[in-house]
Amino acid sequence: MANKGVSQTLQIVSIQHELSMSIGLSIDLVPMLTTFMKRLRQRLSLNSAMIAYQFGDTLTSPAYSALSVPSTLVEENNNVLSDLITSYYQSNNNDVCHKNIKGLDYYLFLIPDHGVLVLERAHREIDLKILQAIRPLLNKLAISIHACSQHEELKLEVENRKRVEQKLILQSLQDPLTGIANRNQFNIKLADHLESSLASGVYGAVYIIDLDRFKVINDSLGHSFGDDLLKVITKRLQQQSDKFEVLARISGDEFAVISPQLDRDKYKAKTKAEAIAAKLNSAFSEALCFNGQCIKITLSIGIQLFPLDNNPQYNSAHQNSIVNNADLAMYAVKRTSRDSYQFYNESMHAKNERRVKLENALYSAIQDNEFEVYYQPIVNGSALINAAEALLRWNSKSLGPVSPAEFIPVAEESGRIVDIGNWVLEQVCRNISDIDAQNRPNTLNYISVNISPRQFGALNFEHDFISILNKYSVPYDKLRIEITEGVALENISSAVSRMNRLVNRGVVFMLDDFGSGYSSLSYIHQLPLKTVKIDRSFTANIANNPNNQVIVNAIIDICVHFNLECVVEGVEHENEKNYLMTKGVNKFQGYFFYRPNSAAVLMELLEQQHAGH
Amino acid sequence: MQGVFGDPIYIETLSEATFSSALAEIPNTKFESILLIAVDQDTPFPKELESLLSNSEFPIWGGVFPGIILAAQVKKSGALVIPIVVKTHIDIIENISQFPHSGKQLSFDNHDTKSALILTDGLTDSIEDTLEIVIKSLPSNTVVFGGGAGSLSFEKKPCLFTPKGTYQDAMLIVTMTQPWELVISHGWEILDGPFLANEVSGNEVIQLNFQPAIDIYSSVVEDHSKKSLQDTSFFDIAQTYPFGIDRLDNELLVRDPIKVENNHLVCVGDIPENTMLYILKGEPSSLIKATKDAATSRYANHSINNGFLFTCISRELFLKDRFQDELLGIAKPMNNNNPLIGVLALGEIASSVNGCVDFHNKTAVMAMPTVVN
Repeated sequence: MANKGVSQTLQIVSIQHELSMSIGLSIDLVPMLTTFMKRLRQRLSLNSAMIAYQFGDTLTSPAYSALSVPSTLVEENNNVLSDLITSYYQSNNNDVCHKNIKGLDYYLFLIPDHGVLVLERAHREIDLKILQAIRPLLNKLAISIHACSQHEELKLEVENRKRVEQKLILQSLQDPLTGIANRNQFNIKLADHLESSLASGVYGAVYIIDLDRFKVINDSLGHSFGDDLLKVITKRLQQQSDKFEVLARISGDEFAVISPQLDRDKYKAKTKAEAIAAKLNSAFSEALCFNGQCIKITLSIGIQLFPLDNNPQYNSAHQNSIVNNADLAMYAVKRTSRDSYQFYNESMHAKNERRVKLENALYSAIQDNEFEVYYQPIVNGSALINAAEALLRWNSKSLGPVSPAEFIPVAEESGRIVDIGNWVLEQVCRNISDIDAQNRPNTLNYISVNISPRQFGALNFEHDFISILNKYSVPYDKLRIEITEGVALENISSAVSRMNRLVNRGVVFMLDDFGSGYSSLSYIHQLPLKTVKIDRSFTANIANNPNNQVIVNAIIDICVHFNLECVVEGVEHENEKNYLMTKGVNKFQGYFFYRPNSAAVLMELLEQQHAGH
Repeated sequence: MQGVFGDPIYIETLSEATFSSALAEIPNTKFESILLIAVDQDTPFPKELESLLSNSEFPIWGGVFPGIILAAQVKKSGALVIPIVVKTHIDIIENISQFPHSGKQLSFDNHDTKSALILTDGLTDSIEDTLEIVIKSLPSNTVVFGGGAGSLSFEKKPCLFTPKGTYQDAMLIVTMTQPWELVISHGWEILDGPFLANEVSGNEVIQLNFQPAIDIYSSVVEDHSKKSLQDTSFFDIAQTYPFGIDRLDNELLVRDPIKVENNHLVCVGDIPENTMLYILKGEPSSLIKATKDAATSRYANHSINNGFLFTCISRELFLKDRFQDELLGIAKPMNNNNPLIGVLALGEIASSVNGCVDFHNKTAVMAMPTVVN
């Protein structure tokens, strides 16, 4: 094909112009070079073109495929071409290098500071004038490569920053232990669902789920085990994910679930929500087995439907109320049955308000001298007082007299029980000293004090207890510690260790309310007990109640077997006392003998008893 | 020359029954696959053909074209069944108009590839970009040849097939360990130029020498043809005056302007921006001579047993009755008992002697298997 009408000069200029204009058409390195090399191949009728690109101080493998067309160019020429490219680059020679390898012509051009451009042509060599016309393009190519590199570095930096930002966002919305939503994300999702619920008029439900007695597992098996268990629990909850849309871990052992779009009809929505809660509870009916251990977990679930009645608009107060209500419902379950669910109701709110008031009032109760220690005598078969149980009474200035049944759990939950308990110990020690001083010879063998689980588990309990007794020079066996089955069961091994250390110093332990709780015979022999107190619930009308008789007789037999002293609480009638005496019991406590009364009254009674003898 | 094809069998009307009969005619010599080339207007699509492909016990691949060539004769109906006796590896790239090109690397199974026969949907976009990716993925020095399939009605429909089914907007790549040699020729000559294509968009020429391309083109063509582009169908005149893209070694890559849209000249195949364009002219005798001379001179000292021709449909439209002369000229170096076969294509694909693979227009590409000593 003739092209005679065109002078070679014009051809050279046109090649230079076309190739020059094809440099820098993209700001991304690979597309920019790809376009340039495609033009090179077409314009110069090349077999292939390649760029060996410099990364850092070294040249890339010349087979760097993204910049080579065909990508196998160097591979097929083994090391000959590769070595040629490397030595040419190192020579830093601006002249074009031309070599014929295996019948193919190779032309190497230096791209200043960036690498080497390699052209491969078959059949016919490229005219020297055209090669010289290409040389000036290499500087432009180098500038463009530099610009692209800087752009890519910037892009990389931006991408990295975005990645970090995404990670931070994710971290702020995700629970790192379980990978599910955290409280933040839960709140965001609830806001969305509440808004759509308000718009659609379809009720949804929020569930606050607390793991029952998880603290015991954490304390006894370690936090690492606890963490693993939380992951397993999460998985089991996720298996129920067809019933809800959001599952979040909102605190240590507390989860939250949202089931939106239940029903337009509130009653039906409630029924559906109830069914979901039941499913969640029953999902844990089987123990969780992992790491060679099987753990039985139960859930206390509080439920609140949303939107709330009389709250037609979305606002944060509306949302907070939903969560708070579900939380209150959960606590209501916790304080009663556990392993169950409950919907929020208005009375919970009232109870909570009362609870908050109690908690606030408890903070100043010691300082304001609102507590008083009462004593209920423990008598023998001849009705002689030889011990007493200390009982705390609270006459609040703001709330009036408050029953221990009401304020002790609040003090226990709020942690105030430790200070209150220590105050009681001080009072009892002071009273023991007073009684000792006035009642000679002293017939009062001991005074027992109830120690709550939280106080008993406190880090400084042993130290505080001994210090207080020492302060008032009270012999260690004069102030007995009454614990409940719950105290022992919270963490049996550490409870036993602590009890043994105190017993070794002469302290005496009594087990209170025996029979009312777990009554596990497996632990009773592990505890260093002196006395067991049979719960008052078995005493009522025992003379005529065969069921109670069976239980009480069994407990008495256990006490005999383990050589334990037996005290029966709640004796209110003579026939009860008489029946129990026939069974060999000779320590009683109850209204039939004495009601709880002040220290002064106790001292008076002891005086009278002394005078009577 | 070494044999690659068994004897081709012509079917006047393609159907499952006629295809089965054709297969029965093939002698019991060993063959690897069946190349089926069919004329678009008579090809039953798509269900009948797919059933034929899936029911065959041999792998069938091929395409439909505006015409087929058998024994240096053009057939505008029917199909050719060609047994392929060398090993072939068949790949298909689908949706090439949406193909993500940048940095994409294809992977072909055959590392000993010496040649690649490429059939592409000739009526889709991004043929050249996809071709670039394919070339990048093939071993260096692979001889590449082929052409565009489809209908002269320019209706987009399935035009390629493999044993897996029928395809449109696709590229079929058949790699072989058999080396091939090519003769590329067109015979178009420079009428005027060069012109700087300072503004183009893909396959549209917008400006030449910083003036509207249509103005420059009309002026040159009208001056030479003594016909007005206003008065005559653009295609009727333009088929005689294609563009030529300047290449080294006095070569020109032909681009066929087929229509005018928004005053832009729309071509078959991309025009690089800032390239030098010529306006070409052609005479039937010079075109015929060019292809005949190219075939004869390249194979003056050889006898050719097999040859497959990809020639542009526009050559047949331009040469009309004399197209037969061109085919006879190309077939001349061949042994008389091995008839020339081929297709009338919508664009031709071929790697030049220098190694560069191009998408051609208005060009004849003769592919012949190389003798392996």
